[in-house]
Amino acid sequence: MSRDVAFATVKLGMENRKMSGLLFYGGEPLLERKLIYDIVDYAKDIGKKTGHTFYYKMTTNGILLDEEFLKFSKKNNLAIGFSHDGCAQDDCRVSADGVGTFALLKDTIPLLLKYQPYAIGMCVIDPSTVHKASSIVKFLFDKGFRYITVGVNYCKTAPWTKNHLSILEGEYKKMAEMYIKWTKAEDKFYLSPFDMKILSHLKGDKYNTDRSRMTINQPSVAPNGKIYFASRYLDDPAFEIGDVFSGINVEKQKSISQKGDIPSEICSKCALRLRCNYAYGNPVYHKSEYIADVSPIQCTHEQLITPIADYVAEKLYKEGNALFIHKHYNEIYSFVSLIEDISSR
Amino acid sequence: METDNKDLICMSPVESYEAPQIPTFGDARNNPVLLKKLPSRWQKNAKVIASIGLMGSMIFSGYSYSFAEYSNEYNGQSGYSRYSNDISVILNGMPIEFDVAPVIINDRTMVPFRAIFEALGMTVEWDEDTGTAIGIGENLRIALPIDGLTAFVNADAVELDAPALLHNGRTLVPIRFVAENSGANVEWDEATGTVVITTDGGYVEYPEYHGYSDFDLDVRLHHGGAGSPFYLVHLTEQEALNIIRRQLESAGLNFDTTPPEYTALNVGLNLFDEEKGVAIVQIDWRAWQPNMLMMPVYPPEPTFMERLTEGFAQQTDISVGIFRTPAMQPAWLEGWSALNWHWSGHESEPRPVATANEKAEARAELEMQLIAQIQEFITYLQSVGILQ
Repeated sequence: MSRDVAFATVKLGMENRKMSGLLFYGGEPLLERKLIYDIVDYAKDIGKKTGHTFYYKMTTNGILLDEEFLKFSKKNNLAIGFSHDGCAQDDCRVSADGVGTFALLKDTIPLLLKYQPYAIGMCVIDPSTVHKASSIVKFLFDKGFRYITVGVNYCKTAPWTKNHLSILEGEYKKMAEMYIKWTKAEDKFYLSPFDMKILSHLKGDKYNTDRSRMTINQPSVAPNGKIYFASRYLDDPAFEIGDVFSGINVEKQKSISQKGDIPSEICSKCALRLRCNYAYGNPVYHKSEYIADVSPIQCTHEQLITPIADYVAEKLYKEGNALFIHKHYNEIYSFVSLIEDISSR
Repeated sequence: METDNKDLICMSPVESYEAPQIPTFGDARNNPVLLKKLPSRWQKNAKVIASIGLMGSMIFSGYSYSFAEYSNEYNGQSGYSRYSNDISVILNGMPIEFDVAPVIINDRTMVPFRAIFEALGMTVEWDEDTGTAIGIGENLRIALPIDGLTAFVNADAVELDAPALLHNGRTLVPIRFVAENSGANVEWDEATGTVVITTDGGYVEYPEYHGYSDFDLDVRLHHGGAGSPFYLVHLTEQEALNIIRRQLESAGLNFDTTPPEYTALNVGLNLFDEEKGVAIVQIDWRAWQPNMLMMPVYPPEPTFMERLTEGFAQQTDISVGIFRTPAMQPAWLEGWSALNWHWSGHESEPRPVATANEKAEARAELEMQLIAQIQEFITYLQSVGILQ
């Protein structure tokens, strides 16, 4: 991405609002470290002149993460999402010559958490690593990550079978027990997809409305300056909604968003659709025709995780677990938690 | 059905799913004690953390739902409660009013101790030194210390799973424990969120009689009627009958006589003063209205009156006062209300929720209207010389 495109993106992001987020992702954003420094400096400069507030996030595989960048991230409140598969790191995350990266990142994790105690540990479960899923989460937790997201490899080429899903279910149940144990020990943490699924119940009908609103507010900019509806539609012409120099086609953006709010025929019959991450806001164009598309693996995964997350929530709530209740029902929990962290340092 | 991975994983909708038994954000806002207990890790920083945490709970519980807005906007009426998640307590057919609403904590319904002890006929004391709520009845003393898991019934120590606690300036006690240990029977009506308490000699159980007569007067119960879809507060048959009986017995009637049999119209004759020739008839709407959707909107249509008149005219000359009560099971009434909320086009909006006080006020109004009608009946009976 050129500086011109990057700076135009920053300016476009300021339009009609007082606060904007800039999320750097890739590929590997740290390959363009200098550009990130320039973008943040530019945004700070504009912010001082206009009163606009920017916040920054970045996802990285950590290979190029060093103390210099971490100091920069701390100084500028640049939040970091760290992709790491824990004890399964060497199964899928290998270098170009096929060598695993676990050893390479061994010292990066403590360094990251030293500067970014709220860094997010992001793992992705693949059929080849599904049997280690709970161990991966435990690894990240034991290393000190308190924000952990568990993703699933939804690529169409990922060879998921019913057997894999059965194993995944068992691993989620182990994670459920970990969640309960950590909560009872009053460890503060966020574990997705559990907390996300619990939220889907707490928010009721608003869950998917809020998600839909969030999606429309997160357009993605390609290196050539074209803007797409969301990051997963990058380079798909059907989802191109403008460019950073001429702006966003708001009508097209809204139209895509509205189409995404209509579930497919199958999803519309599903009792879990209001809690599903994919029934709404997941528009796809197939050839020239729009369809709302949820892949079978996504669908099955949602059906698998929802009752497990609900079991956790019901157990902790009925036991009157104060931390669980405040975490999910106290609107200023995050603030109180932050005060606690600050006062204990 | 779409398939992936060579039909190994299939996509199929879930037909039904039972939501977890925990409140949503909306439901939780009706529970002011939800955030009362703080995580112990916050209590270590008591001064700063606890105060902020409590501030959070105060902000949270301060959320209020404007029932009046919905009442005026959607129905143009007021004074009647709508669908509510609040808890009611009925003692011998009569509701108990609380200045602080009952709440459920750890699956136990907690109520202000003064109100429940006094309703059960006990005097109350408060031991300041030990922080103990005490109820004293005949040969009975129940003591519940605040936050204590051991209560005392006379000299016996009894373990509690829900201790008495302070809430909104009131001491709340577990209602089942108090009521059962005072000799009452306690039941929980899940459908209506009602704690039903009955004591020996306090609850009038009316057997089902079949009686008949000419009817002289139709005394109507104004409650919103069966055709009003949104009202879930009503007097049950038993409650209405209790009120009627007490009022009429005070006026000089005697309902201890066994009434005669009558099989036409499936009419239940509940109260019968044979000497004075006065009967109170409870109409079971299901008997004469086979299809609930065809049920006439209150007040009853002439057809009903004519049918009743014909039936009674065949028989004796007993004066019959007909009090039309909302003879619906609570679960059915809820279903009816849900259906009508949908029919009226509001299904995309949450149904209004009434507070416990609003519900209590509506019930009180129903009782007052019933009593007013009973007075009319008494006046009629006096005018025809049946009563002095």
